[in-house]
Amino acid sequence: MNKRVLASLALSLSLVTSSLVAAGLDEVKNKGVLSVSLYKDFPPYSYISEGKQSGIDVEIANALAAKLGVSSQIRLVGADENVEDDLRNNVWKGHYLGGGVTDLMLHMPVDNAFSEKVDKVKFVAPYQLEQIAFAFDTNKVGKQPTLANFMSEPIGVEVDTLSDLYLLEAMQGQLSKSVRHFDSLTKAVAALKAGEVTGIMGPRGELEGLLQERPETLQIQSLITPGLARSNWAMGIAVKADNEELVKAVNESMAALVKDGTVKKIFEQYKVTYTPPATPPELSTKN
Amino acid sequence: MKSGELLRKVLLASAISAALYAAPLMAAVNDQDIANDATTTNDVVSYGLGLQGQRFSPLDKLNTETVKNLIPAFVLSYGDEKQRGQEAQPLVHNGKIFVTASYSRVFAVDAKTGEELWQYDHRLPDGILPCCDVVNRGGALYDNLFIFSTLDAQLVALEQDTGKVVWKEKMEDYKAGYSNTAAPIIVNGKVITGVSGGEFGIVGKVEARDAKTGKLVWMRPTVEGHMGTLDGKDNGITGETNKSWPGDLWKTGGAATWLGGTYDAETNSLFFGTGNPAPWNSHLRPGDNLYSSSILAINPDDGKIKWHYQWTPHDGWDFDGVNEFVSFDLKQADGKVIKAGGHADRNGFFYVLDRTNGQLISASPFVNKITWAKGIDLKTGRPEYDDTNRPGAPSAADKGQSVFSAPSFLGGKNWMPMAYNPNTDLFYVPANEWGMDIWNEPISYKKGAAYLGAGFTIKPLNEDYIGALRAIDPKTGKVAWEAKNKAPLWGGVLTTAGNLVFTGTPEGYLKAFDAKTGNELWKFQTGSGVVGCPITWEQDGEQFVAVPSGWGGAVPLWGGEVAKSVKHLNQGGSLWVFKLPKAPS
Repeated sequence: MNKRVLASLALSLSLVTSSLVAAGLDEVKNKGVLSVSLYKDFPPYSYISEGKQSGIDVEIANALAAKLGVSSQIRLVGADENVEDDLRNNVWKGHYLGGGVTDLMLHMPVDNAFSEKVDKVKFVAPYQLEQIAFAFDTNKVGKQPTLANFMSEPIGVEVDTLSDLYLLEAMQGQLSKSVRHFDSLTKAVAALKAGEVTGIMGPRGELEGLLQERPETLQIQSLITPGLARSNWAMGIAVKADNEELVKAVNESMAALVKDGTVKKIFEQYKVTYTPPATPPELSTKN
Repeated sequence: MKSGELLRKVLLASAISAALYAAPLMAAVNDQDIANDATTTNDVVSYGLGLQGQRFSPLDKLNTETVKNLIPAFVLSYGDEKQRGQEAQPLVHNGKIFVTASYSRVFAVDAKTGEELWQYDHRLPDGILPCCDVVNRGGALYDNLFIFSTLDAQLVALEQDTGKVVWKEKMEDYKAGYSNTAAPIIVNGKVITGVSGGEFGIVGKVEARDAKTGKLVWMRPTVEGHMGTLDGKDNGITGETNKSWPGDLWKTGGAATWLGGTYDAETNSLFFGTGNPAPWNSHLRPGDNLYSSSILAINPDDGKIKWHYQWTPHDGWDFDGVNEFVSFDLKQADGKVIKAGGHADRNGFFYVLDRTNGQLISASPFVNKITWAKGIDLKTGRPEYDDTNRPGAPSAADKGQSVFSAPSFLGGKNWMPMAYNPNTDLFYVPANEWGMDIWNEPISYKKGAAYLGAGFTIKPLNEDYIGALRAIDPKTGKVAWEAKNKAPLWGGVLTTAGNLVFTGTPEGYLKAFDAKTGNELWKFQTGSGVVGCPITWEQDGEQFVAVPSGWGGAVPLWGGEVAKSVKHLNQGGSLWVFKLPKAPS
């Protein structure tokens, strides 16, 4: 590549970057755009379908922007090694390869202990309680299986997830030979439908979204999981910590969207059970 | 006889004209040039100054007496804002210096004037997430090509004269987390590479391509159970499926070959080290987990594994086994010479193996503190683990017991290549003294979901230094001398027949030491940390030394408490070239 092309590339990159700077509430309103980072290839929350950004988180981001009276600009990003990295890359600092930051990131944990560790951002407006569940074939393990059923039946997980690490050591490691690893839950679901695995362990929302269309013999429910460190967690929105006006506006707008049923409707549209967390978004924020 | 004489004359003339014809073709680098690189002094055409990777130059104009006269000849700034770790080793050929830089860039410089001839900036796609800085460690020369790998896992061949792309091959899908930063090597016309990136879910491999076209010749996975290929056909499974892994974990077993490898012509073997196994928690994968944290001897002709030796069986500390394996002649007391190889591992042991069969000859600590093993059993070749110091299983919802482990996962020695000097018969190892607290982290999230991670903090073991350049006698495993450095050492080493050892420091110095005593004889401040690899060559009767300067790499990204102590170091990006001027006549 010659230097002229590079120069123009660098210029266009810097233009993109300048539009992707986390802004305060006034700036968001002035520029008329709310920029949001969402995980890519992450159905049913955020993904590309027929060339269009789709999913529950995409729709929530759009609704939130509309509530703030601006348009949304959604950036679909890859997941780094952990959420701290994702927040550094996308909310408070930006990745060292460039690209800048966005005003918000959705699908972020709302967890006091975690908030203490990650003080560069504020976690607000918990809008869904995600929990670990199982999808399984009732023809093979019946309607009320236990973990022990999967000592002899293959069970799929997304590689390097809580479910993966749990199953490898559950029941003194007796399940580890049955665990089948997949790059994504999408692929695990395909294997379940094809009968290559009998069950899948993963977050309920993802399983429901991926199995929107399923035969009656495929069932999704929670099972007893002795020793599982965390079986549910609240997800909300991360905003850069010093952006207090925006934090407040996001919290209030989300509260309104919960109250008028918009959020519920979005979940229903994707056939995912809507489970509001114990602490719903508050109209007058204490943050 | 007249006719015979005539014939001789004709032959002579044609030989001359052939030589004349050959002159412009001298620019092309051939297999012989690469095979002889360790002994030819007017060029540097391979990573390691010879494929064995000894980083030894027979030049001696520059020596313990004259090194005080070494002065800068010129400096090239890499420019723009892309100033991160400059870890490359430059190459010199046909009056040009070639060097790679951070963000997958390449510069070609006139070796006489220092003027830039061309620059290649690889266009990196959006959304790549390299794990450990945006470094590049160097390229390879073959024919009229300069070949290097990129952060988006491509292999790119540029024309040496113009920097124009001749061929480009996708090694792996960067979207799946793969990248590449290592210097390729060329063996008998094939360009040999490993893969890096994606801590979890990938499987390491070594690949050979036709260096002139980029076409894949063979591929050898580094985890047992995976099928290798040769000329597009199956070429046998690596190891034995499921022998040392539970369930289907071998499918995502790790063992990335992210630092590339070396080659020894005497045994016709490639030596590629492999990374740690996945997942990180060793309790989830009982077994040796072959061939993670190992060295593989591979036949360069067909990609078959000849032997392996595992540095850290069933790794639980993130001890990558990728550090270079350097071929050398081990001279024994009885005068016998063993074809051996030396290796300084992340795990803190300096190993000597018989390179014809992988048998362990010796393993000695090259750092002062090792907690994970009491030693390496020379009979079995296996570590004597200290099980109390293995990080625990993360089943409990609490933080669990924190284990202090030394060396830290950044290793007694990291990526930076050591050097071997056959005159002093010593290895020069850029070592670091640090440990880590490692614990289970129950409050952890990944891709928006709850997760069980590990928390760690890297800690210096001494107040006054972390880095220590150590001279190690491979016959005894004893440290002959050491030169301490406050910041961790992160640059490669060079040694010469002038009884010198060169290496850089994060504090910005390129330093020269007496190879026998370790006395510091010369230093020069380059303006930013030196984490690249120095080289030397001869040009117009003068000896030159070159090294990249530019602080970065994994330490500032991962170093915990150590990172704080190097926070004040400024970034940079330049190639420094020094020379020993001719004595005035």
